[in-house]
Amino acid sequence: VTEIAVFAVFAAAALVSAVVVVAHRNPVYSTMSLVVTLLSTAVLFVLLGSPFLAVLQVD
Amino acid sequence: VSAELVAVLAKTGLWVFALLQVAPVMLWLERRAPAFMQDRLGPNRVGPLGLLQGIADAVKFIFKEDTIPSGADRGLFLLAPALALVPALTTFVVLPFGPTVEIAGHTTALVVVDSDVGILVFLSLASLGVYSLVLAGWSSNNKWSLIGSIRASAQMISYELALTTTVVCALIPAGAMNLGAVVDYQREGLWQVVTQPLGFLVFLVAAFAETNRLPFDLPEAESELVAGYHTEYGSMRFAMFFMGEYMSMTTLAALGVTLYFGGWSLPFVDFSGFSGLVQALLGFGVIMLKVGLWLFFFIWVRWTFPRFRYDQLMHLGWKVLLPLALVQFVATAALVVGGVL
Repeated sequence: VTEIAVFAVFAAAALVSAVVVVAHRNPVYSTMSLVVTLLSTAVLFVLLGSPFLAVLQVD
Repeated sequence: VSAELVAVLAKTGLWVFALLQVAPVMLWLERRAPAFMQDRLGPNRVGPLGLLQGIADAVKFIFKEDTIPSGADRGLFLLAPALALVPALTTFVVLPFGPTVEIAGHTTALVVVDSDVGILVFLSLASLGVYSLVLAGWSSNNKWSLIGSIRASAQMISYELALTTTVVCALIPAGAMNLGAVVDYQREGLWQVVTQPLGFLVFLVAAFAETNRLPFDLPEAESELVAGYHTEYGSMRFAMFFMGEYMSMTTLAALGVTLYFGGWSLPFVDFSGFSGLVQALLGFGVIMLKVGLWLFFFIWVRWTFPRFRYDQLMHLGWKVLLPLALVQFVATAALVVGGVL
């Protein structure tokens, strides 16, 4: 149950911030939401049990 | 509540408690130590030996007015100081402070996250610190802040390269990315400061640049940039940058101690006879003692060397430190292949 909740939160965060990247008028906000997208994807990799990919995703 | 959760919370609590104590102690030491070096007394009015100076400063920070410049980007301006604390309060999770012990019938490794990619977690979380500086400089709507943050990001990216290369050198002999394995390797043989002196030197210099300490404090060079990226910050928001900087120094020093000075272990001393809890506290005490000496060295250097010029900084980073780190890399690899290390 915890896993599904974490997945739901971070999958939603990844999708929303990915939309913000292309939709926002201010490039600085776009960059920051790109960072949020990458971090959320990293969390998804952790959930899938591959910490190595998660770390590479952050960098 | 499972025993595992309690163990993780206890270990995290120990680190966070220690890290939060660092800022006031360093604040005091940073004024007292150079005062004695310069034949003066330094702050000695607040409490015995001036030890309560940190509390006086905290009270002052809390009661100051919290201002936001009129042209600032409000959201990012408020976010930046909080981001400054993220790397400082997350990177410690992979630093070991003892062996695997048994506490209250429960076997646990004395590290918050015993990960096989430990050092990568440390480096990638530490690299997130750049965002806080860039956002602080950009959102302040102030040209000094912006120049300071651009300098900071260029400097951190340049020196991260040399730093990471020396870290790789330090991992090769142990053959693992788990920092516990690096400590175990040094317990069986020599400290790596002896076997990799060149790598240690490059790591040390790069650590100064990564934490924006003199002689590499170009991002906040007072004489040219007022205060760099945190020019427009006051009150507790400035204090958060301040604490973030000292905590980053502490975690980076702890990484250096783990890679080059045997981490939580002491030569010729064996803790394994004690109970698990005592081993944990002893290990933590040893690593904090070594980190404390390292932090004193940071202060000592700050009051000894003048600031570099910007082109000298880039010259040193790219044309001196990086080649030296690569020399150490080839040398270490050759020694390991040759069976010496």
